[in-house]
Amino acid sequence: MSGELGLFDNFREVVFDPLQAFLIGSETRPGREADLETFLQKYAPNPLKKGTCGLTNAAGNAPLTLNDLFQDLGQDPRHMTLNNLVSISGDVRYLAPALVRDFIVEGLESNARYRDLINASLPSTLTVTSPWIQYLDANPQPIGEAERVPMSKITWGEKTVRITKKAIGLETTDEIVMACPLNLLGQYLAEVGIELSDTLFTNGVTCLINGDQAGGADTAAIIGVTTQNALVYKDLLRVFSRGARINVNYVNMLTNEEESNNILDMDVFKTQQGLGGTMINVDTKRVVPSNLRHRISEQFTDDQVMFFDTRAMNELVGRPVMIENERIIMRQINGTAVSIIQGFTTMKRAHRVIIDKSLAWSGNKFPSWMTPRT
Amino acid sequence: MKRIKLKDPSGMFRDPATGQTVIKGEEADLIEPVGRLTQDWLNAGGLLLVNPDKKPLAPKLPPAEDGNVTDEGSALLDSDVTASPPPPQAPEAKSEEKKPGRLSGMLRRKKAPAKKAPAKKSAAKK
Repeated sequence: MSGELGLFDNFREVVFDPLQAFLIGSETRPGREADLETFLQKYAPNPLKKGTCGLTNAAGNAPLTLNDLFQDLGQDPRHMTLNNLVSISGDVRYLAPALVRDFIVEGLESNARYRDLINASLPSTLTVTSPWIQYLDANPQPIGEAERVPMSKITWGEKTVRITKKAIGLETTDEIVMACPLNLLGQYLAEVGIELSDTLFTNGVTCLINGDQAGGADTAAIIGVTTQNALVYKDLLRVFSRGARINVNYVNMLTNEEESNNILDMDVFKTQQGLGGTMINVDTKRVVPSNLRHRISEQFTDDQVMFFDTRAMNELVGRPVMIENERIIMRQINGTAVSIIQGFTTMKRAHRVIIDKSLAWSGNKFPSWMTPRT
Repeated sequence: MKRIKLKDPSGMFRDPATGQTVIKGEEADLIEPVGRLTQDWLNAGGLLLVNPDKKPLAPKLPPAEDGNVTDEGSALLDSDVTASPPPPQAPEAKSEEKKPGRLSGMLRRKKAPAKKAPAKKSAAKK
């Protein structure tokens, strides 16, 4: 049955405008990311139940899905083109930009490698003043009877992080809009989301290397190896051991493709380390991670391996993926701009470290900010 | 070719747009056109422009041990730091005019324009 949801003529008022407001945010509330179905089910204000969010299907017993929506419109997305959708009279033509955005977000989320680099995604304003906290003399001391408790110092400061806009323009010809079924068009548009995801991944890796301060006060530490130009397992252990002492879990690894092949070729990674090989089995789980998440990025040289803690970086989202359309009549094309405003901010500098095998350990040890407290 | 280095030699800098990489205390050639991130770092002082030698004036000297470095990143980037300094102006011509000579004022006034031209030429040649 179609038309039961009543969205045919009220789609703009009930879904489209609230979705735009949700994505863009306001002075008091930053924009947030959500695909169309999630928005329909969780965030769209329900006109039938004032003060509640989330739309339900015609029977009112389940959250509204995209299939319910198309059913209500009496359309089948497998045989529908963007042009069909736009040419339907009534408010429902506003579904078209929302769907285009949905396809791109789907691509972005399907290959969201950059999410492996971050601890959390936080809504934010364009310029963020982020605090940093440093503990001095934080070790509890033994004290005698009636002796004064020694004080530690906690210093607080702030740093400013600027987030930027990334955008890409798409031109779709009338032929695509008129002839390409929505489902097929969606697969191509998802590629745009995947490209966007790649850009964000590269930016994230760059932030892990450079830090979030252009003054250079937040760069990742670089250490050398025991024997120059030869990375061995002991060089990796050095990082894990220091991490255990400074309460940092280096469970993420980044290399370029060449170095990835070298590291994965180490016996310790490729050979089964079964029982019976050693006299005593040492439980190393507290020091050496049992699972190392490995990603490849071309931002490193052939000599470098980066390790970082999952808490090393957060994503700041000023405005989620936004789609804007315009019609260029003289060229018979539709222009679509896809943009996102976001950035990354780091937490502690010690959360990140790079091993560079072109450098000797003797002259390139851990920096002062990675010195254990005890 | 301009060269750059990190202000804090404990880390690394990478510009994904140009591939510019600077590691620890090493000096690297500045890749041109300069990437936006590199420019930001030069402006903020995270990257320092290493002073190029000023060749034409004197024989090349070995660089100082402490690193001949300036932190005027962007300003130096915009201006042409490798160009030789502007040629000195011709003070000779003016000083000659000011010199108390034996000739009377009238004579000097007549001869001055004729003398000025060769004096300027010689200064320009220098």
